[in-house]
Order: sequence, then structure tokens, then C-alpha cells
Amino acid sequence: MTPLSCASVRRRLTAYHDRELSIEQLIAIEAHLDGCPPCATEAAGLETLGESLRLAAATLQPGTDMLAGLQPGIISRMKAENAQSWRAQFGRMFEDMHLVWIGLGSAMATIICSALALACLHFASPERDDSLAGIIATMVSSRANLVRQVPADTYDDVVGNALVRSMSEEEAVLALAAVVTRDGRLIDPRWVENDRDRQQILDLMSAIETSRFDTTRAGGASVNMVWLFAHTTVRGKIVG
Amino acid sequence: MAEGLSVKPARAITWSEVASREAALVQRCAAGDDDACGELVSEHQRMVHQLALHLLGDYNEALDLSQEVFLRVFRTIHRFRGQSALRTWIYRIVVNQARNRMRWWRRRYRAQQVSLDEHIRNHGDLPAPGNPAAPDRLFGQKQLAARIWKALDGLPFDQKSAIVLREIDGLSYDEIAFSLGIAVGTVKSRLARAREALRAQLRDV
Repeated sequence: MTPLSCASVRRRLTAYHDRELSIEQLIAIEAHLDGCPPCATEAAGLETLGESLRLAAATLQPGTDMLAGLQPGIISRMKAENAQSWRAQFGRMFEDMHLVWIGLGSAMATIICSALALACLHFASPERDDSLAGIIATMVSSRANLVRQVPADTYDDVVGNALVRSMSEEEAVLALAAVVTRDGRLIDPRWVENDRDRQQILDLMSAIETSRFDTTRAGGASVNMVWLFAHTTVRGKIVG
Repeated sequence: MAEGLSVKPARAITWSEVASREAALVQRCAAGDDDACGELVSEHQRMVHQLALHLLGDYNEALDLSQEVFLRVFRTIHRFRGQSALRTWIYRIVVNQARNRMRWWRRRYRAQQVSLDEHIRNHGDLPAPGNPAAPDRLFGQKQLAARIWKALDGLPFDQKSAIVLREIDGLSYDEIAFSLGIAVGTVKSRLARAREALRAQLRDV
């Protein structure tokens, strides 16, 4: 067997002390320690430290009575935890059916209340013609929906008839049909089926003809679409 | 390894190597058998309490921790697959619980900690042992043990747990590695550092 150097032994002294080496290695190191007092002192130091730790641990030995209550305490706590677990509580909910009946009754009550509320809404008074919902409904159902495409030759009739039909007696002052040009001008404004205050209406149409709408711009380019507001009451005032 | 020396390699431990009685006990505990749970506690309570005591240094804390450890054992025992001996697996739980408790304790009571020297200055020395038969010898032993525990408490928890498991509980490197969840090489380095620090503090012992 090759004799070991002191450095080699020192590197493995803790493993030797912990008996974590093979038999051959243990024998080789023991042989070295027999003939090397400094290494033997180092090994003895490790041994002393271990004995001191075990001695100190022995002073902390708990009495047998101290652990007497540990086992029953653990078992009773386990039982208590199991009894309070979600699974146990869920199982207990179905031990009798009282919670089930409560749940079913609540669900039925909710359904009945919802059905009653829907029925009340259904049989409530119909909407008024001059309400916003009524106006929208009229526009949707009539041909006055200006959003859709209207052939150019029927434009006047369609717009004019629809606007006049949708206006109530009190609010209708006049109905106009006009064409908005690309640059925002109104051209060819025409009065539709109204013979009251003819001169005032003609003056108003003249004023509108000379007015100009702001053109819409998107991303720097002119947009060829003009939103036309239908069913809008305009109360004009002619000066002079 | 140089000069033909090598440290034992870690080896896997399988169910077949775990005692059949222990395996049966584990299965009964997993099935919720109260008698089996009581049996398991009786067999391991001293070991668990001692390790907790050595790591925490307080009887009541160790007792409380022991209870937490066993509850943890029974909550997770269905996951135990015999990858180690039952004892080593329980050691692992003790170390983890003790580490968590010390962290919690430090966070909660850091401001209220008083050193032993300061306590003795304020309240006088610890009472002498009441045994008149061998007062000097007993007193010397207690003083030495107190110094050793003080030195141990000064170590980081990782080093302290490694040296306690090795020197006091006698676990092998493999078992310590499993208990602490680290590699065998790390066990060796932690043990070496712990021993070096302890020898430096207890040089005159």
C-alpha cells in the first residue's frame, strides 16, 4: 500500500472521522496517523469536538414525562382537523336534506321572480311616438332611414315624404331636401310640402344655400361622406 | 480521485430495502388508522423532539414543533414512496419545519432578542445546580454544555443542522443530504465549515 502524504490525509480527515471512507482508505489513514503526531492531533481534535457535542446534547435530554402528552395530543388534533376539513363539512351538508331544500326553494323563488319581472316589462305601456325610442323605431321601419342607399332620382320623394311623415304637428316647421357637395356646400335646397309662411321659408332656404358645412378630414384627406341629420327641428330666425 | 481514494457514492434506496413492517405501518397511517398513527408517533417522538431541541434550543418550542412535524407527516404520508428510510424522511420534515420556525421567530422577535451576556448582566448568573453530591463536576459540565450550545447557536442554520445530524444523530452523508435536500458534496463542505468554526470558538475546551 502506498503511504499517504500529510496533505492527502488532512483533506480526508473529516471523511475519516465520519467513517465515510472505504475500508482500505480507513486502514491507510490509520497507518499514517500512527506515525504522524501532527495529523493524529488534528484527528483527535475532531474526535473531541464530536464528543463535546454529544455531551452537550446529553444535558438536554427531555424527561419521559415531557413527551407523555405528545401522542394523544397529535391524534386528537388530527381528528379535530379531519372533522373540520372541507370534505367532512361537505359530507355533513348532505347528512340531512335541510340545506338542499333551502337551496332548491331559493332557486325556485329566483326563477319565479325573474319570470314576473319579464312579464311586467312585456305588458308595460307601449312607447310614445315622440320618445327617442319611438323616433328610432319609426325611422327604422320607414323608408326615411337615410343611412341606406337611395336612388338619386327618388331622393326628393323619399326624404321629403319620410321627414314630413315622421314629424308631429307641433314640432314640424318645414322639411327640406338638399344636396351637400364635397366641399360642404348645400346646393339646391328645396322646401317639401309645406305652404305656411312661404316668404320666410324661402328666405331661410336662401340663407342655408349661402352657408357652408365643415368638411370632415381623416388622416389629412378629404372624406366624401357627409352625415345628414334627419328629423331635426331647426328653429331659424330671419333678421329684417 | 487522487491516490485511489474516493468517497462512497450515493445510492438509491427502494421500497424493498425498507423494512416490511415499516412499509405496512406507513400504509396503515396513509389509510387513516389511528392506532398506526399512534404507533408511528411512539416510535419516533423521542428522535423528533431531540432533533428539534438541538436545532431550536428550547424544550417547549421543540415540543410544539414535534407536534407540527407529526401532523405534517400524517398529512403527506400518502406521498411517501420509500425513496429513503422513514426515519430520514421524518428528519427532513423536522429540519424544514425548524428552519421555517427560526425564520418566522427571527422576523417576529428580532427586536426583542437579548444576548445571554446581557441577560446575565441584568438578572445575575444562572442558578447553580441543586445537586450537592458533585456540585463542581456538574457545574463544570453544565458550563461546558452552555458554551457548546452558544457556539452552535452562532452557526448558520444550514451548518448547524448538518453538524447536529452528523455528530449527535449519527446520520450518514447520504442521509444528511436527503434530509437537507442538498448534494453530498455540499454536506461535506458544510460540515467542514461548521467544524472549523466550532473548533475556533471552543479552542480552550
